[in-house]
Amino acid sequence: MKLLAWAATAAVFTATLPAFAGTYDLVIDRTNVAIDGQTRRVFSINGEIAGPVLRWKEGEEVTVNVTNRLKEDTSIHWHGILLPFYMDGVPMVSFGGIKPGETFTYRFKVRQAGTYWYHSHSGGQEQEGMYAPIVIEPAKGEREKVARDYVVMLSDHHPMSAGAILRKLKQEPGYFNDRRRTLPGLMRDLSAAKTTEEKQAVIASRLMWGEMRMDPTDLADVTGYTFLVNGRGPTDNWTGLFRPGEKVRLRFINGSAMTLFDARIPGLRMRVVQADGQDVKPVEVDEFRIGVGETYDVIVEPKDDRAYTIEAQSIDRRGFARGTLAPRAGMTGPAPVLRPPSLLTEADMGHGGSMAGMDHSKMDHSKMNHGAMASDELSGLVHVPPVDAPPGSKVLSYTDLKRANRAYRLNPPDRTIDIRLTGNMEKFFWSFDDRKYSEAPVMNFTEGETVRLVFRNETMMNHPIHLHGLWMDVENGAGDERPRKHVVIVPPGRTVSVTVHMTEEGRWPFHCHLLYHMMTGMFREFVVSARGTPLPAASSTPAKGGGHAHH
Amino acid sequence: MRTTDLLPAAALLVALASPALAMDDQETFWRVDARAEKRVSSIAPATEWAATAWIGEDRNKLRLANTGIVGDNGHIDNEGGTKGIDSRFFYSRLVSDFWDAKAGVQFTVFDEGVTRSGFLAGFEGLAPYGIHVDFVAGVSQTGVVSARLEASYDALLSQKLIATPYLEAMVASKDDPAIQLGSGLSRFELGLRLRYEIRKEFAPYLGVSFEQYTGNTASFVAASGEPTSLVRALVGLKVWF
Repeated sequence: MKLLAWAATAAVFTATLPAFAGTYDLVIDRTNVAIDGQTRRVFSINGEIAGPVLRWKEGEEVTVNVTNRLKEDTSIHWHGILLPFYMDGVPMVSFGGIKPGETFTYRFKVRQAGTYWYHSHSGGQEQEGMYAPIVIEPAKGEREKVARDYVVMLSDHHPMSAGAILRKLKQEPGYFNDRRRTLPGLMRDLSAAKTTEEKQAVIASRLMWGEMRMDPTDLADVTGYTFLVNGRGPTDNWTGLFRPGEKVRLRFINGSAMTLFDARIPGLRMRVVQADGQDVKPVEVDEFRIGVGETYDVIVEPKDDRAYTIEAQSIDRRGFARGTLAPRAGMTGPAPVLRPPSLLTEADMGHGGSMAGMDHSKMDHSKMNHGAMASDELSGLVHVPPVDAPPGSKVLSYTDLKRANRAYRLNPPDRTIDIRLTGNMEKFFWSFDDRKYSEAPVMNFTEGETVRLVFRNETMMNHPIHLHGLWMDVENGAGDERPRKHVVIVPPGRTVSVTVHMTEEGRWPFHCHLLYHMMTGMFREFVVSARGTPLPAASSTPAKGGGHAHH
Repeated sequence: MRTTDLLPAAALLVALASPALAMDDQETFWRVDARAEKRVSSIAPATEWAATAWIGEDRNKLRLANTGIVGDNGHIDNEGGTKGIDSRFFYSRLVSDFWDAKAGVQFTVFDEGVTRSGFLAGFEGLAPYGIHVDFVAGVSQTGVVSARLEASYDALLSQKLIATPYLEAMVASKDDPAIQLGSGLSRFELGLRLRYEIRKEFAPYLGVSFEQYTGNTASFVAASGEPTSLVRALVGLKVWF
């Protein structure tokens, strides 16, 4: 009955305001799909992975019916979308999850435009196929007039289930590292070293990493992924067509579980016009790094009648996602060449200079000085672009991002909160301030206040930090032009700061978007309450807007 | 060990396996490691095994161990009162990034049906430079206070071929002649195992051990007509799951 009533309401809306209400039906199921010719069993949305694309319009009242045909609970989270928190789709934080056989109806008004995505927030379903793009057209139409508009959704597919991967990581944290340093490698390095100083440096490096009980080859916790473009493997070769001279918009979304990519299209300059769904002042680049959960929209203008390769190398250089821009179907561009993997350096441990003389066994990161924090803006500390890009390439840095939308105000912070990014790589769990989600209380904020969050990464890994429901204004040195994002990469050993205007009441997850970091504890709940009111109830049945229906 | 001793452990197991919170970062995991090897020697050939297991979440775990050595002559090898067929049961807690502290009980069967039980406490983890260390000290029913150190290091010759030098040593506070244990440093063993990981979880190996009895332990061992110093070749299989 309830469903009927809603349907009637929707019908009325559709009749009166045709452009401003839309109903979308999504069915979650187990499905076999082919990736590079191999049959893989995935968690699918309407039978697809990396799809279906949801196309909304700014101002639209959307209704999304999500039906769970799995034998387990599921959920859909709208990544980067501003909405009432009980529509955010995170089990036990925003709602109770979607039980098997149940349909949950999401309802909210679209208050923004740009490129976003949606994915499961239940267990490892996201890695196993439940991710797809959202494209929201601005109310006044697209600012950039282009002939072609394609989504390029990057992802990582693994033959093992997410649960099996996590079990191996807990049993043997180095299980997936097949590039550990060896004794013959030491001999090679020593014989390659020409001078006594170089030989000493080789030994010193081994001793330093040995003393820390860490491995500089540990760039990725999990290997064995196949990297996909729009759900297609490198040999499937997803292709977007163009006519020479046309403007083509590519909406890059990183929907991976664990993989950061360095993306480029050899032979084409890319004009970055949007980051995390927000218009930015155009920047011409040859390459950009895209963290898990981030999006970048670029415009390219291929002039020649030939195929161009879209390549996105994983940052551990174990593989690439590949697609093609071509004037005709069936063409392939030059095959990407993987760049050699780099080692983590001393700088990645948060030390700019030599580590000689430091006693790392007694190293207390909490007392380390990560740079002067006195200045109002923490410029220049953010985003370390890859150092191995071809010479002469322009690689996008966060400092290049400047907001194009001046319609919102940036407030000075009322207070500052330091958040250390921490982890135990030997037992494989990740945390903020050395405490896992289950071990820490929620973080309380008052609606309307502006808070500076200072992220100090004390680990050796890049952490793409994601905040639900609220924007992070990245302090990238651009002053009043600084951009807002929903994911911010914090590189190893570095400090990045953002300000957050707590505009939306609710319970908002804050977490590392690397799947196994989130699952093992790198997660917090931000509770934003109106001044003088009690906290909103957690995981209660939504009072308005959404509803369940059984089949 | 009495049944009542197991009750707290059973309660802990139930607690560890209890339903999850919002984001389940306290999930229970487990791991079993097992190793079996022939100790090849013209004078003292034997079969040795070691099995360890843990179950728990990141900070709290239960740990079980069973090790033993039986000579080809059919007798349990006491190894100077340092080995026999030994079972241990520990509760362990993560106390720093790389170390678990542990406490528990031990029950050992020696040759001719002699048994010893006792309490143990110690720690295990990863020392700087990646050295695996397991240290326990304890007291047995006969009042002997003893300590045992095991240390090993995985040196990668390739990603699959791994050389593991190891050291075992034990000290005791006083003699326990019934199991041939003498006071002071009782015995030490130095060795090397070279394994090939066909899979990470499945690795056959070859090795060599040098074993030396010292002090009163050496006298007890010599009195029973066994060698006090021994070099043996090792052939074995290491698995985990």
